[in-house]
Amino acid sequence: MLQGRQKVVRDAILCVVIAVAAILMFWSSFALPPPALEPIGPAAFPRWVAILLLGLALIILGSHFLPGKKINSNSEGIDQDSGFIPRYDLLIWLFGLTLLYFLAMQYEVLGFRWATIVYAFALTLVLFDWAVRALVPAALSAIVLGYGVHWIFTRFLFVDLP
Amino acid sequence: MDHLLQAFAQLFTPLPFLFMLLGVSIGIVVGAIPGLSGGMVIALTLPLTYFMKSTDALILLVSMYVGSTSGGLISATLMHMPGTPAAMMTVLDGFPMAKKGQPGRALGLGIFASFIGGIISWLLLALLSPPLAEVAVRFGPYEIFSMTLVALVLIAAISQGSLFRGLLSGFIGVAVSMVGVDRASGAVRLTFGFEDLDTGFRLLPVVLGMLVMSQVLSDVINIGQKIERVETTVRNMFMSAKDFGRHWVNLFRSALIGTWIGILPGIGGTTAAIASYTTARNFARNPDEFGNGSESGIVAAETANNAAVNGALVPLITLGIPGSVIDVLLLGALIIHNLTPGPLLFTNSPEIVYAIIAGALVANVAMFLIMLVATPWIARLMYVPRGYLIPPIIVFCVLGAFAQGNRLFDIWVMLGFGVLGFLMSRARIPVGPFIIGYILAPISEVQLRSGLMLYDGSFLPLITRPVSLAFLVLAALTLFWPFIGQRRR
Repeated sequence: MLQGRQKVVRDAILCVVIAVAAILMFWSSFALPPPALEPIGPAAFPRWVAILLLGLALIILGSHFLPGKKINSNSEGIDQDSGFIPRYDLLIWLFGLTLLYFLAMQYEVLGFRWATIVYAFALTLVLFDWAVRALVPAALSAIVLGYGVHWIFTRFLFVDLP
Repeated sequence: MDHLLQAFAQLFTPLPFLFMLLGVSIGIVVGAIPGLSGGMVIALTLPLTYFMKSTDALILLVSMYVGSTSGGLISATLMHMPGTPAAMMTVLDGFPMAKKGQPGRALGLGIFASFIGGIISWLLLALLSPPLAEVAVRFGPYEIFSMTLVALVLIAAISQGSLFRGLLSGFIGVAVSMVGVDRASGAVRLTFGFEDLDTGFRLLPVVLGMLVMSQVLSDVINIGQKIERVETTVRNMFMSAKDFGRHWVNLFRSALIGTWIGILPGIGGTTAAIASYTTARNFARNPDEFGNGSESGIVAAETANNAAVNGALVPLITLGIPGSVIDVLLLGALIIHNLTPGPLLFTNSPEIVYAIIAGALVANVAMFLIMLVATPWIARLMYVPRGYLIPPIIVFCVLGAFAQGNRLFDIWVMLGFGVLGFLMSRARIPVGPFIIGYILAPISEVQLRSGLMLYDGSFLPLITRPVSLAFLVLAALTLFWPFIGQRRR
């Protein structure tokens, strides 16, 4: 469970990010044309939403410092008391492999079919902690996924894939 | 009535019937597997429905909705883990009953309760929708604007976490929806010079990213979590007449609660199950049994969450307002098929509306039969290692994001929103209000500005028109009631 101070830091970061986004939204609304057919025009909603976002972020942060009952969520974070260790390493692997997958298609290094086969194979192995027993099922599932999905979308649904 | 009979007749032709069976079956399986949800499978199926007839597409999606809501019962009972959020209350009594050696009984009660909840709520759906649509046609732009405001506030209030985090999520969704061309004036907003954003963020990449990809990122972190489980048996699965006699009040009350909560815009099966379970406990002779394998607990939760499915269809097909996050996806399906959601859907496309209504009933019956027969086999699928499921899910997300516009940019958008959804969930900001805000904001803004044009720039009709005022009062009460309640205590 997150400690009190960690929650404050987390919400402070959230507040800063939302504030920056809100300020950018508000600032960009000045470039929009003035109202024509009705009194509020295209700039009104971005401005109102920017103000609301900033206000809500400040309320969430401020709730940590108010006396009395905290306006906060009921549950916080993953329960780490069960002895379970979250696999953030797998998250990094998944994100990295997914980036490579997208970049391979974006820069036409590999077409969809082969990019998918390589990606699915690698990701399955990673998720099984590189277990040898997962090699064959990973390869089979990757090939079926790559060829099967490619065939369905190009021959059956007539969608051009990268 | 004629339209409804025609819809049933069409549903019982080979292709629509096949789609219905497929939808229910896939929905049940996905609902049963923890980490997957009805929202995910419907979001992943949406791009495939491009290539289908509109009625077939909606029958398929509604059937998945029904199936997935019920499928969550299986893992809730056998694995102490709700397969879908709507089954979270079923865990409290389903698993303890299964651990006492009665998994079949727990499953049977849940299946029958789901079926009866679905039937009662369907009757209300069929009876209420046509007159409500007739009233809704008379709604003006200010009424629709106020209604969308209520939907946003309600889902923010009811979603997990604090009200303010829910509202923050909703308004982030509103902000995202404003990127691109403003419908009313044609001005390009919030693109910061990126031409690819001139058309805004498309529906499918956003929905797939927020609902599916973000869930996958969270699931990967928890992939090693040990799951306690109970073996399935089918003994004592059938409810007897005596069981009906013992539970009929609970069944009926829970169905009404579920339907009513489903009708309220923005709320869904989870809240319905909580409300119904709590009510059943308050009325029970032995409330201490709840949480320890109480039959009434299972009946209350499962009846209500299934009743909420049909309840949520009422505002969707009559007002064009989603009754839950999954209904947002159904709304997306209507938009993808060039149908305009709203009160005029009944008038302009009655075949679509009645296909949804007919599909909801037949899917409920199919769900009941499939679950009675196939639960032991479906239960085995729950134990498929996540490592085999995650790569295909991501690949289908890529395909879904790409297929809508044939742009690689959209798959980056999908990944970006996946990361955003993941970070939001880590910051305890619920994702549901984001989706509602993203979908409803364009409708809301267009209606408000149309109203201002209609009434010469006056905001006054917002409060002088009674229906609009009623919605605004409801939104205000929902926003401020928690604080009033706190002060009183």
